[in-house]
This record gives sequence, C-alpha cells and structure tokens, in this order.
Amino acid sequence: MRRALALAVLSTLSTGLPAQDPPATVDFSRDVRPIFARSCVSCHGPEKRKSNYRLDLRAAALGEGSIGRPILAGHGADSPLVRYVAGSDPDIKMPPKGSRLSDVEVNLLRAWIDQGAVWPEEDAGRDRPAEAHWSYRPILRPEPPAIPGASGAIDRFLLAKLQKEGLGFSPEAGRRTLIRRLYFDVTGLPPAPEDIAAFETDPSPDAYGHLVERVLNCPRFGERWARHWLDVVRFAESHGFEMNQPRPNAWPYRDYVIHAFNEDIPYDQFVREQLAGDLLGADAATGFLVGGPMDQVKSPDPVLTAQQRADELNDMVATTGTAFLGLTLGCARCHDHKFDPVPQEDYTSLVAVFAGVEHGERPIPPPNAIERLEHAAKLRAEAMPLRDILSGDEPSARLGRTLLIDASGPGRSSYRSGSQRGCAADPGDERRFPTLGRGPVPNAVWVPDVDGRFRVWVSWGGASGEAPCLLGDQELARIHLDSFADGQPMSTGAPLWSGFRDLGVLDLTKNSRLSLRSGDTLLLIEDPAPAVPILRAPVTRGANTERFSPIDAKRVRFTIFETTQLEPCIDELEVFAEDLNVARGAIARASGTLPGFDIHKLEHINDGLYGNARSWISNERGRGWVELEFPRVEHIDHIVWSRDRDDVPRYDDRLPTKYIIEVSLDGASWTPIATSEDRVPRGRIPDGVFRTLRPLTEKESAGHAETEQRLKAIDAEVMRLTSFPSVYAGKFIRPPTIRLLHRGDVTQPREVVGPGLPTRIGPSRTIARGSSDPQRRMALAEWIVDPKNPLTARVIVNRLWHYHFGEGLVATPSDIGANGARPSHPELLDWLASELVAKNWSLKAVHRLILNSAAWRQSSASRPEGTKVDAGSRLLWRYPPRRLEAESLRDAILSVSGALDLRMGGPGFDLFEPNTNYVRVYAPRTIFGPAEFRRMIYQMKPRMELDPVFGAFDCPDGGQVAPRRNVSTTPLQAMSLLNSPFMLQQASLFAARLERETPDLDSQVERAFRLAFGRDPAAGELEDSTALVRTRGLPALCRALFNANEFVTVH
Amino acid sequence: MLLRRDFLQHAATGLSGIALASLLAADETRPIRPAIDPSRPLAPRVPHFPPKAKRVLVLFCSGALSHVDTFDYKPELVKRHDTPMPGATELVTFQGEQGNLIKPLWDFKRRGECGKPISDLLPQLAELADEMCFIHSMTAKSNTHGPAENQMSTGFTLDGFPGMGAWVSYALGADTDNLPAFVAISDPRGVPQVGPRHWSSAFLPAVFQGTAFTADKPIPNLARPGSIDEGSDQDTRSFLEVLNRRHLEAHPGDTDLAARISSYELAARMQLGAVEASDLRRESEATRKSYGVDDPNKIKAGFARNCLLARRLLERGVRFVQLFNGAYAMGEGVGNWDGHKTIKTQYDVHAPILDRPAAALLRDLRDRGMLEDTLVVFTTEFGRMPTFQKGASGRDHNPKGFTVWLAGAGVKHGYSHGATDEFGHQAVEKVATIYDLHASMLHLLGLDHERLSYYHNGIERRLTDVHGHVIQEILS
Repeated sequence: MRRALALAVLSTLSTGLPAQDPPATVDFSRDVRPIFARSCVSCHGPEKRKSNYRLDLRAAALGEGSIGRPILAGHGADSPLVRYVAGSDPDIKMPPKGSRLSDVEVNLLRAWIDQGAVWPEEDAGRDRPAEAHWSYRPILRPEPPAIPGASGAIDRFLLAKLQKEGLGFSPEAGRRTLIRRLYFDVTGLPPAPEDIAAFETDPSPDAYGHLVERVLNCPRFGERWARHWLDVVRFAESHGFEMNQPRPNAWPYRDYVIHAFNEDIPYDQFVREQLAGDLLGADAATGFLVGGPMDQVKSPDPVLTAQQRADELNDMVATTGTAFLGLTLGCARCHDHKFDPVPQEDYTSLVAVFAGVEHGERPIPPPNAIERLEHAAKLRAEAMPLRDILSGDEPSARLGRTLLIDASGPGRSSYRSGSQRGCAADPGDERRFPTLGRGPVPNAVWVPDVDGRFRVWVSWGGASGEAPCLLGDQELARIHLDSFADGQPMSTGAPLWSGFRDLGVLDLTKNSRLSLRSGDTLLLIEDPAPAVPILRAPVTRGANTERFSPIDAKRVRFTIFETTQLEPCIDELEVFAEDLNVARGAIARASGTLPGFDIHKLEHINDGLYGNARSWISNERGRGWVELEFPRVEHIDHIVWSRDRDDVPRYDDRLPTKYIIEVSLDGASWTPIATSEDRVPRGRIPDGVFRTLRPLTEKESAGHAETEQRLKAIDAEVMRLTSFPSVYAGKFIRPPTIRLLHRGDVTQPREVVGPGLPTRIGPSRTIARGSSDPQRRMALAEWIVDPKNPLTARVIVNRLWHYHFGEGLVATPSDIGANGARPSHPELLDWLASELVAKNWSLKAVHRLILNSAAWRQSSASRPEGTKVDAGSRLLWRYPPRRLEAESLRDAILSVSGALDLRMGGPGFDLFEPNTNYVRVYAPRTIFGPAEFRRMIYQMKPRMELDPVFGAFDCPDGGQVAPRRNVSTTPLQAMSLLNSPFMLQQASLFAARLERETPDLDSQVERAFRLAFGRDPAAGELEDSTALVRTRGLPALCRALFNANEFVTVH
Repeated sequence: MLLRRDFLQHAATGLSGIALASLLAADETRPIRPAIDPSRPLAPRVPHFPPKAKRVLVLFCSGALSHVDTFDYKPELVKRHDTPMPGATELVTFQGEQGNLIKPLWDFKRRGECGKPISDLLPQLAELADEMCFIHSMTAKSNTHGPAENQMSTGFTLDGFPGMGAWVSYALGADTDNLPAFVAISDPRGVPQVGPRHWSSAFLPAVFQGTAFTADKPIPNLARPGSIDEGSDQDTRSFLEVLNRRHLEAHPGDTDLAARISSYELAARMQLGAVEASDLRRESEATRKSYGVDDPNKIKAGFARNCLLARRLLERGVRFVQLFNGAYAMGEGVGNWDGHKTIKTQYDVHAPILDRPAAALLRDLRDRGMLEDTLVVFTTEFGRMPTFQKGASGRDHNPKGFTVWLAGAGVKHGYSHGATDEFGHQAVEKVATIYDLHASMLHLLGLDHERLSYYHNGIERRLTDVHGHVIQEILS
C-alpha cells in the first residue's frame, strides 16, 4: 500500500547547499516522532499513560498496552495504531480530541510500520528524554582504535572509519601546498614567497611542527579566527532594521575576541567573559550580549515596545544557545521545543537571566583606571585653591591634614586691643586673615608631631630686629620681627600679629622642631597645598557650606567625632547637584537616634524644614553618623548643613565640630569629600568675622590669566582622566519581572518566571532567588562551562574542526540537538571535547592537534576510489579543497598587491560613504585609499549591507547567526573581481610592486606567480604571461591572476 | 527501491558533495530540494506541480499606501466623517493618539465592468479594475516600517531572512541564461526603507540574491571599465581562461573549479544581455509615451523607465522582478507613502509618479498576453488608519487591515476578497496574513510553500515560517 517514492539525486557542491538529512525513507526521528510528540504523547507519555501505553519510549511503544499491541512491525495497515489515527476503527479514534492526523501523517505512520517500525536505539528514550539524544549524554573519553602506522588519536579515529570503506589517507601534500594551506587556514593570508622558500628548504625533521607553532603564535591568527566567531554571534556594527544607524563604539568587542584568541584565553573563561565580563574585568566582552539587531524606531504604542524588547531578549537567549550550546533555544519561545528538551518555561527563565541587559553603551574603565583616578584626584586638589582664588567663593573643602599650632613656652603676651591690623580683634579682610594668633612667646618652639610633607607658615609679633626661623638647626628664613608677614612695617608699641609667612614645603617627622624668637601660631597644610594659606570658616550653628569638585554619588555619609557638647544634632543636611537639593527624597539612615523626642527624628534630616524642632539627634555623646541614599547616582557639588538654621543662640550646643563627609557609589567603598580639618577652630575668632580669603595683592592678581589657563588645563586633564570610553557592550539595569508569554505573544503574559537554567539538559543547577543581573548571567556562564555540561566542549571543538576542514564532524555547528545532523565520527568528537577540557580549555591545544594530524596534512588531490564512496570527502580520504571566504580573498589581494596595512585593533574603516539620514543610507565608496587597506575584519561592518565587491562571496549579513557559510559561485562575483574599481586599483598596485621589486619582465612574471599562487610559472604559462604583458601591460596580467581559480582556491 | 538503497548508502556516509532531492509523491510533507546543477545554478527547474504563473512582478509601494484613500471604499467612513471612531479613545497606534475619523481625501467612483469603487488618487490604475483581484483583509505583524517591510518581502519581521524572489530563484532558476533570475529595481529616489533586505539571499546561497539595478543605474561592475580597452579585456579574459583550464586539468574531478569557469562565461553573456534588456530605445515611441519615460517630472520619468525595464526583463525570462515605488532616504513621507502629517499634499505628489507608469505596465503586460503566465502583485507593508492622528492631517500606521491586489496568471479578475470593518480599520472578514499571500504566490508558481524549505541553524526554514494557507477563493 505504500506510495511510490521517487528520488532524484543531484549535486549541489558548488552552490554550497549544506548536506541535507536523508528525506527519502521514513526516518523515525525526523518523520514519526514529531507526530507522536504533537498528537499522542500528551496522553500516552510520561505524564498520563492512558491505556497503560506510551509513545515516548521505544520499549513501551513497541510493546503492549491494556488493549493489546498497537504497533505490528511490518504490517502498517493492520496495526491498530494506524486504524485508530486513520479513523477506520469503528470504536477507537485517535487522537480523541483536537485536530486529527492528516492523510499525509497517517501514510507516514503506515509506511514507517511497513518498513519495520525502525526505532533507533539512540532515540529509544528514557524517562528523561534529554538523556536519550547523543549530544545530551555525558562526554566520555573514547579510546582511539589501534591502527598500525598511525599515532595521533585524530588519525586513528578517522582511519578506522576509512578502512571500513576500503580507503585510507592520501599522501602528505607537498610543502608549497601545505604552507599555503596552513597560512590561509590559520592566518587568513597567503605566505610570502620567502616563507615558502624557507619552509621548502628547511632540513629540520620537525620543520612543519615549528611552522605550526609560528603561525599559531602570529597575531594574524586571532584576526582570522575572530572572524569565524563573529559570524557565529551575528556581530555587526549597526542597529539593523529600517534606521540601521551605526554603532561607532561596538569595535572593542571585535578587538576583545581577536585578543582572546591570540592570547589563548581558556574557552571556559571566554564564555564567562562574554556573558558576565562586567564582573571579570573584561567589559568589552559583553558586546556579545548586545551584538544583535535592535530596532531604533520607538513608538508610544506599548505593544510595539513590548514586542521590540521581547525580540531583543530572544536574540540574547537564542544566540547564547546556538553559539555556546549548539542548542536552538529560540525554538522554545512560543511553545515547548519541538525536538529538544527545552520547555517554554526554561526558555522564559533564560529570558529572566538576560532581563537586566539593555542595548546601549556603557563607560568602561581602562586597565589603568585606578592610576588615572588617583592622578585626577591629585589634580583636583591642586585645582581647588586656584579655583577659590579666582572665584572668591567660600573655599572648597580640602582633604589632607591642616594644623594650627600655638607656640609653646612661657611668657605669652597679648596683642593690642582694637580692630586695626594686627590687633586682637582685627577682623581681617579679603586679603588677610583675622588675627588667629594667641599672642607671641619670647622663645617660641613648635613640635607639630606629624609625619609627612607640609607647607608651613609662621607668624610672630611684639618684637623687633631680625631672627632666624629654624627647623632644628637649619635656618628656614630670616624674619623681620617688626614687619607684617607681607613686609609692611608694624607701628611700634603694643604687639601686633604678623599674619602668616610662607616657609615653603617641608618634610616633617614626629620629632621635627621649629623655633622663632617671639613667634606665635604656626600653620601646616599637608601637601599638595595651595601657595597661599587657605582656611575655611569655623563651624556655626546656622549654616555650613562644604564645597568640593563635582563628583558622582549614590550616597553621602556625614560622620561626627566631636561636638561642642552632648549628642550631635543636625536639623537639615542638604546635598546639591547643580543647585538642586537632591537630599529631598533620599533614604536616610543613621548610627542611631535619640529616642523619645518627636522633634528629633531621623526623617527630619532631609525634610526640607529647618530648626531645632525638626532635627535629628544622635543617640551617642559627641558622635554618630547619618547617611543619605539617593534614588540614582547624582553629580553633586556642595553640601549645606546646620545645627539650627534659625540660628537661635541657645542652640550652640550639640554642634558637630569634628566630622568627615564621604560619598559612595556602591555603599561599600567611600571617598571623603570634606572634613572639619581645614576649618578655623571655633572660638579662635569671634563668630561671623571670618571672611573668605582672597590673599592676592593686586600685583599678584595680574597672574589671574595664567591661573585661569592652568585651571583650564587641569580641568581638561581631569576630564580626560575620568571619562572612560563608552563601549557598545550593554547597559545593566535591575531586571524587571518576566512572565511566560502564551504563544510567544506579548499581549498574552501568563505566570511570573524567575531566572533559571535549562532543567532537562546538562548539570542540575539553579539560580538563587533574588540574584542580581550580573549574578544571573554569571550563573548561566558557570552552568555552560561546567565540565558536566555535555554540549559546550563538543560544540566548540566541532566548530574548530568545521573551519579547519570545511565541514564539521557535525555538519550543523550551531545545532547539535535532535534536529541537527548526526556526527560523522562521534567518538572522535567526544575525544576532542574531552581533550579540550583536559588541556584546561586551551583552543590552541586543539588547533595544534588538528594541524599536526596526518588527516589535515594530506593532499587534496581527488582519487577515483575516494569520490566513488565519498564524493564530499566527509570521511577525509583527502583534504577537501576550498574557495577563499570573502575576507580572506580581500586580504589576500591586498597582501599580494603589497598594499595590506596590518595595523591591529581600534575602530574599523568604512566602506560606505558618510551619511546622516534618519534612515541610514549605505552608498558604497568607490575610491579607496590606505585607510581601507587594512584586513577586512576591521571593516566597520553594517548589518544587512554587504560590501559591493566581496559581499557577493557569501559574506554573512549580521541579520541572523551564521554558523556556516555557503560557498556559491555567481556571475556577480566574476564581474566584481574583473571590473570593480577596487580590483583595478589593486591590479595596478600589484603591477607597480612587481616593477619596484624586480627589473625584467621574466622575473616580474615569476614574482607575480610566486606571490599569487606560491609557485613558479610553468614554461607555457611564462610564455603566455610575457606575451600578455608585452601587448597589454603588467596590470592586465595582475588582473587575470587575481581572478584565477588557483588564486581563490586553497588546495 | 534500488534508488532508495543508493540514497541510504550515500546518506550513511554523510556525503556533503551530493545532496539529495526527493521529488516525492504529493502526499508527503518532506522538503523538496531543487535539483541544482552547480555549473548552471540559475538554469530553469521544474516546480512541484504544474504552475499557473511562470514569473512574478511585485510592485511594492514603500512607506505604507493608504487603503482607505485608494481601493477600500467605506461608505460609513464618509458618513461618520469628523467624528470619533467608536472604541478608539484609548487606542494608541504607532505615533500616538487618534483624532477623528476622516473620510477618503479623494472621491471614489465605480470602475470597469466589475464596478469596483476606486478613488481618484490613482485614476489610470483604477481604470484597470477588471484585471485586479483585491485582498482587502490583509494583515501584517508589525506596525513599524522596518519589520513590516521585512515581513512583506521575506516572511519574517526580523532581519536576516531570504527575500521571496531569492526563494523563487532557488526553487525555479530562470528562463534565461544571460540575465539574473531575480532583479530588484529601486525607485529613482532611492532604496526602500529596509533596502537590500527585500532582495537578500540571507542564508540561501548568494547566487540566489536579487541583482539590484534600475533603468538609470546599471548592474554594478557589469561593464568593462573605461580604463581598459576592449582588446585588452579580451586578451586578459582569454589568458584567464587558459590559466583556469590548465589548473582544472591538474585538478580533475573538482566541480567547483568548473563552476567558477562557467560563472565567468555567464558574466560575459550578462554583459550583453543586461545591456540589451536595459536599452529602452528599442521600444516604440508609442510604448515609451504610454509609460511616460520622457515625462518632464524627472522622478515620474525615472519610475516609468523602471516599469518599462521590468517588462523587458520579464519578457526575457527573468523569474522574479521586484519593482519599488517610494524611497525613504528623503525622510518620512517626503519620497514615499508614509503620510503621517499632511497626507493630502504628500499623496498629490506621489500618486502621479506611480499611477501612469504602473498602469501602462499592467496594460502593456495584458496587451502582450504576458498576464497569461505572469503574476502581478501590488503591495505595501501595511495600511493606514481611517482616523487622522491627533493634531495632524495625516494617517498613522495600521497593520490590522489593508489592501493588496494581484493580477494576471491564475487569479480571478475584477474580484474582491475579504473585508475590513465599516471604517477600514481592522480586517474582519476572511482575514488574510502575509503568510497566506506568500503561500498563494508560491502556489501559483507551482510550489508547495510547506515543502520549499532550506535547513538553517536547526530548522527547515520556509518563506511562510510555520504558517500560511493558500487563499483558494482568489484562484481562477
């Protein structure tokens, strides 16, 4: 009863159609199991076992249920199962509900049973079907078969299979062929004629092994293999969709991949860094997460917005699945995966893993970030006094130590009363301090008791004549005791205070001792210190301002160490970002709060209301802290705080006098921004007399312009040091709640699903509830690289094999699930996978194994006995010849023409004209210069817009992942290589190079062949070539060579 | 059975060089692989079953042409002019909130023998109503140009899927060996919003991607460069051929090498073929005039030349021609049908550019008998709202119901299928999807949309994803 099956055989090698699974006969896994899975297993499966019969396990399905044996192998039409599903049984019709099987499906089942109901062992199924498919089983380490004459494991596995077909390897390729193959495969560039000659004549028995090491250690290796990885992860440097604007800062991800391959970063680390590099100091690596398309067209329509976000997250989940796991997770977006054990819940829990990732750029600290920030802090400190000088504002707070030390010694006298200059109540003015001295001491001595470098100022009064100011025995200055510090003479009579005289920057130790006859107060400011002594006003109960260089802060903490008396009180703490008090709305915390007073509560600290009756008081005498946390990071520049803003005199108690103010971004590390150190101690001068000091004479202020200039330079440098380059590597947010979407439809959200890992594949692991965004991604990464994960190592070694031989051991490199191809050499694949893990995930170790195998080194020449059995060389009885990919082709042309620029890294070159249209227009450039002569991996690669010349060579477009490339042959390729301006230019450059390098025609032709083909011209070729050059010029020959099959083919 | 055993042997050895096609009996569901000769990948191939259409012309109006102002007549919209659309007070569409219902900005009249009401916006096309088979209940998945244009041409809203022309050339090749199988002709004003995605081969082999050129912009790199004289070009090609033949002799049995030699021969033939096909001077004065190729409106003349080029290509065996009207480079609605703000002014500029040349093309195809085996599809990415946008004099995007029409091989004439609601807002009757449209187009070409597939990354990909039903009612 079976229908006739007609078959046609055709060859598709050159059009590069991938090998398709056999469709001709009924194949259980392909044809039958999906029918069971869709229509039967919900009742006859693991959950319900109606009639005690299951169709998910081979043994059960081919056995008996409670109403007999439904499948009678070899007898389709008579099998009850076929009668039930065909509706031809009078009593039982299956499935009883839902849509019936189509005639096609019924016929398929009948044919399958007719053919013997073949249900392969590998699909036999267990209670966890995940364990049934080959790729979900653990990776064992198979023993390579013993093959006489073969030593390497790779060769032994391959030969075992070849010998079954009566075949063996081809002889080793000649050295010229081998080096050309090796260079293109490993570096993507041709060997120079000198490299070829050196290798051909290298007498060392391990000449080849050395060559392999050399190319693997060449930086070109990373550039070549990064291109492969970028295909796999759909990397492109524009957003895609209609606007398709460029992503100018996406290139660091490309550089990261190149670097990772060159440095042989262990593959497990490579996976971790791409998923959670923000935790691992590899920030650019997370470019992986957002390497896919993103629709820039935004709309108020919430459904569209939700759909766009769902598409972005699906891209992250799906790409993670295909790239690392060879698992098409994206297929479980709308329903449980049809072929692989991925329920839609698992898909959704992975969406929750990525829910905190948004498309966009983030600033990324460079490796020397800490030094840069420290340097910037120093510059800031340097800038502050300069700024104060210019602004005339209240000085900014200065960090570092400030000391006012009174002279010690007997006989202190007092200054003249009154408010004239130098008198006891001199209030000072803009250019000089009020009298800060306590009165001179005849033989003044100071022992500061500090270690460090300080700028020191000295003061004196009430004496005449000259005296040395000494540090130990060393004379620091000669002081005219009857003059003020600025040199103005003092009027005689009762003593006057001199003001401060600069002694310079001194290195002090605990025992340093300074002395001066009739000296008074000494001022020390820790270096870097301003050139003029700058102090801030004493704290007052009314309002105290703390200025500082603007800084990012999530939190501000005010810690008090001393008060005028009792527990400290603050009625209001205001924090300003550009004149906006951002303290309002912040969360307040404190070390403690004095209990039992409604007027003294923590929430008063930032309630915007002033006065003792709306204040906070600590619960500890003389100390305590209060902290404000803003809803977001704020760029703050000053703080105002008060004990009692109403300035009622009786509230002079509880006033903090020693304190520090710090900020933090993360609540863990704190940066001080202001302290009480540089304030004049309270009580030293009358309240309110301290004025902002502008200690410049008019002469000095002539230097304002210079100061301004200096300040500008510092500001620019600080900006440079603190602004880190932004990279398109994703922005991270607190992950929102994720719901399962019924049928994948954003308008049909169902239950909330937390972050999680696939439940039915690989090691059993979970993600802790409440995990943050990076923790989720890191947990996923750890699950992927868990050596017990059966997919990860298999997938990556198969990819390496795929690129080395043109076809993977599994022909579908990004799908090794149930719908993917079966491995041609399963034991070899597992052996390589186990070897990778054993070699600490070193990819170069696997490259080395493959490149040194006899299989890879054999000749590519076709053999009739080989093509008869295995035309596609899948069994590797020869090395399969290949056409160069687009990038290698362009690179090779540039290399041969001598134009190639090997500069590595950084932003790419653009093959399209600049354009600022809202919907980006990509008009190809037609004139090329040296900037475009870098390797093609450095092309600024827009999505969906292919280079007009090389795009025709099956270049992936970045729209979808491209785990393997087609190799098609088209007339457009021929036209591009023959006629495009780029090619004509390169042919000319090639010709010019030949003329430059060798004098006569014959040697130019020879050189041309050596450069392009890696060999000398044959006799006939030399004649034909010289004839062509004589009539049509050297560029004509070069144009032909670039178009030759030999040039674009790797044998 | 013998054949099958051979097959299994090949399959067991995992041959990659020989893929296998199964031209299976009609009741099978498996993919049907086209039999592709590597040295002639664009050679004509047999479809799955006898086709109605041998070739396709798609006329794509980029920017979303308003159905309520053109082909979808709604008397209720006229009656309720300038009143709120019931139930639309909360409605937020692409650009925001809705104003009142606005009647068509051009009057509708009955046209042709079928009496189909069509507006005065496109009067010459309207006269051809008897050729047209309208689908008024078309729906799109996205209300954004990019994804929606993607869907209309590739079946998927996302980037990275093959255009329908690529699918058709993959399946059927071309009936010419000196022209591409699939040609995409952009508007004189530039490319449509998602540009080459319309004609991309994506994961299909690059040989099936659309070749983009217009009447005024020839195939890139087609012609011999001016700096190389003909003799030099000839000598270089001859030298190259000798070089390649020698190389082939040294590598017997490598079909790739032979295929590449063939591709250079095909390129040489195309140089002649494409130049000949693009030479519009060979057309009679009457024909040229009917299209308007010398119209003083330069854009209109350019589009007219593109229309004439399209006919010449179809005539010469090109399988699939995609002809665009409208481009986005100039911004929203300036050079295309995206009439958000001042739809009247904008459409009064665009309509004359489209109307006469497109009508002439359709008439020309009819008069030459080409509609017998050519399928014409007139489409756009989605429709527009029956309301004006709040505070504007234009209509917002509307993927919930819009009109496309077909003409020619295998479809009914003067026929209307499906309907939108009383205002033209949502498709309510015989709701159709783009998958259905694609399934029907493939069906007319003799292709089963469920069996034309290509394995990519874990799944047999189809133009119609996992959806689509042939719209039987529109078939003649």
